[in-house]
Amino acid sequence: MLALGVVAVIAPVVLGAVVLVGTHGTDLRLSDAGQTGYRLSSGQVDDLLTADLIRLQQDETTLFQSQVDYGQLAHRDPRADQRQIEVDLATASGRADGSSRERTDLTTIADELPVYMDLGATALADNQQGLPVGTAYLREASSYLRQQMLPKAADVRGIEQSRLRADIGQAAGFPWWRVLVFVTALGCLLFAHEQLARRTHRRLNAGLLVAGAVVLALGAGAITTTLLSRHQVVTDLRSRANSAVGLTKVRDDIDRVDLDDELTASDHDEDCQTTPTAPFIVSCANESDALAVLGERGPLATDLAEVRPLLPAGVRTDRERWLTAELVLPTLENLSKQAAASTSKSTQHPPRYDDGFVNRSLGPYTDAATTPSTEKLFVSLRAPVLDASRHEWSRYAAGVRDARAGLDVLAWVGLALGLAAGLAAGLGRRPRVTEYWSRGERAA
Amino acid sequence: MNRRPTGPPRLVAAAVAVTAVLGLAACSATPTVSVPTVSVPTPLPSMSLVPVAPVTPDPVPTALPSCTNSPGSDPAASWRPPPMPSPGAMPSGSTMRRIQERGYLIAGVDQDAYQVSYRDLSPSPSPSASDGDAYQPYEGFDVDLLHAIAAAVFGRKGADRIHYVPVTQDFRLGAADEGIVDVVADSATITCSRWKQVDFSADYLDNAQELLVNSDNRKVGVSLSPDRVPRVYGMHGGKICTVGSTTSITNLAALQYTGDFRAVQATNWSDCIALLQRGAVEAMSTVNTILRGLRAQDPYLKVVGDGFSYEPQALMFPKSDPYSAGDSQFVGFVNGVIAALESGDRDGYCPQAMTAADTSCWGALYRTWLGPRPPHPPIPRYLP
Repeated sequence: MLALGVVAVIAPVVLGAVVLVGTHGTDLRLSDAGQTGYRLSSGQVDDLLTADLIRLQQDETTLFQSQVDYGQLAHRDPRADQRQIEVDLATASGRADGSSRERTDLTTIADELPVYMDLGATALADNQQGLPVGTAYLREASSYLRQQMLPKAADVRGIEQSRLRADIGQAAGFPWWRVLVFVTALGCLLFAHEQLARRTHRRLNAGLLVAGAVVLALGAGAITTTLLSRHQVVTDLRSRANSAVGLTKVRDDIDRVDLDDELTASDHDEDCQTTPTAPFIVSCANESDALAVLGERGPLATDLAEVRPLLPAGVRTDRERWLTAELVLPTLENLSKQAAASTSKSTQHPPRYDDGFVNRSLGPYTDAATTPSTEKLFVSLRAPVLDASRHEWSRYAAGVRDARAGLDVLAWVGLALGLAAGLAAGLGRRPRVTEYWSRGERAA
Repeated sequence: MNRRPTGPPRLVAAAVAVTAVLGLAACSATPTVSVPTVSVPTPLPSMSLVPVAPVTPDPVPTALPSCTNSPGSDPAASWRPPPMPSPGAMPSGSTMRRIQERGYLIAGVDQDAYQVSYRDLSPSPSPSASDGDAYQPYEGFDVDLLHAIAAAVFGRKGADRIHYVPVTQDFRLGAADEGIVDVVADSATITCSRWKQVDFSADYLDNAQELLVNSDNRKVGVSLSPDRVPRVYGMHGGKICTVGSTTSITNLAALQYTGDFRAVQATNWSDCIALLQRGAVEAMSTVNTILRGLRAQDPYLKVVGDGFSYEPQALMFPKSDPYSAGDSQFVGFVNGVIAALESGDRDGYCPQAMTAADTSCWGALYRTWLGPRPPHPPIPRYLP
């Protein structure tokens, strides 16, 4: 009897504690998910690291070009980019919850950055003296950044994205413990009420009834609130996060093609190789990569398809226009393909350089306004993707706020109600216990 | 009355004290984060190993062997120059007339063979708005030949009417073969096999393949045996860089069999020099004119050893392009331009200023780009 009384008192308190811990835990996970989303959204460190590395390469290439082809293209000092990247690395490294793999990636990028800057400085110094070897160093710097540093920055971002998914997954978990403890607490109170009624012949025990009502309200309220939050997470947060991550992939594809095009313009097709026999088809690494990314079955088309509802309809057209523009750039690769195609048709004469398609030389580019360039297409494609990405992350943040609504209040109210229910159960038990014992002693 | 048993108070106090000490120690310990050990890869241009040819190297020739692909048995022989037309008055129906009517010569050139044919990377002047041809992006010995050809077609004032198509070592043969350009000036060596795809001008520069190493390298060199068989020594398993689709790579592939080195192939000359500067290869090798230009980009390099090949250089022209019917006439015309450059004529057009010491315009070009002591120009050989 005493034990039953103790259980009847403790069960509601335990329920209150479980509601407190469980709800607070959900709130913490949602808060983590919100923080992680904030870090991944445009302009925050993990995303900024990749963007700043790309910007560094773009500024190096533009500075290189502006030294020779045509004057004074707008660019930042690459050393300013380097300082910004060092700030990004320090900020990211200072996070206490970074995984060991993340720390390894950040440390490696920090060690590779001076190697890259050395290559860039050598390229610019040689270029400034008019030495062709500078182009080789520029190419090497670009390869180093794209093959070594950018993948690690992407891995850091990927770790954060995985953390985001894990946080969302945990926040979307069904509140099994709360349901179990609620049912158990209610069951304990009912059992205690029945036992006491049988022994004391008092059908209704006010204290236990009050405790039961409070437990019912507490449990139902906690479970309902948690399920509503879970619904918000499952239907809204997860899709917003996936959309934002998808838009990040699109942005990466666009930046990759832009880097390809900038390097093609800078090194004037020095990275090309040719098939050894006729037809002599030229293949240039940067141009081939750009075409592969922009192609119908390329990663950009695939990634755009996944986030199509989030972007204006014109984005798909912009990709096709960019692809078309790539195929008519006056590059060795395009020239050789046209020549080979025409040579195979004996009725046509080969496309001499004075014929329609390639009626411009591959240099010099003395006027930025007339230089063949895909820069405008890059800007027109990237801008809506950035806008959509910011929009998705802001809606994600709003979704986190909605999912967290009331959870902190519920946590403490739940504990208070649990304690109150426990007190009510204790008070309800005491007179009947006294009566029970006194009857028992008289019987003895 | 029953009394509850109690534990030893000292034991309880000791347990509490130990717990407190441990707790304080845990709280005061500074958390350490270990700095991961990482390895940073060294950036290098890509290079691929050249297969070892299972043949011993041949003696270095002094002339090209007889060939059935060339118009005559002597592969160095080209079409005889015709009576040269006056600039601006090219014969109708000829390739020169078509070039004249088009208004510019289209030429394939290298862009990183410093001082031979390279993209001029000096800070660019602002081009004149009225004369788009004032800005000339390419320079070098080979490029000056193109200026001479353009002057012969258009007149002296038209010497700059050239549209340049930068061609890689791989693509120069294709550019000529497919008729994309009128002429390729890219330090091309006359070979029998290349006569299948292109026509060659007369030999305008005799070259030999040599080695370029770091200036503090005293071990590596090339020697010729008494019967002129070359051997590379001092490499001790090291690598020698060159570029594909060249006679240089063919010569090195043969020398690998007897020399203790591996030949590697890079995409272009700039990649080779970058590999040499970063210590990834011990030497690079090609014809000496290109090597001198590469050495001019880095004073800490030097050319070593004997020349171990015979490399007569010529311009390349489309061969089987139906658009260029009569190309042999154009080739002969260009041979006439070359002959004029090699003559002692001081009244004709010369892309570089001739000094009193220059015996010919060709000598002035050589002195400007290749070295202070020009040799005698090669004696051109023509078809009978």
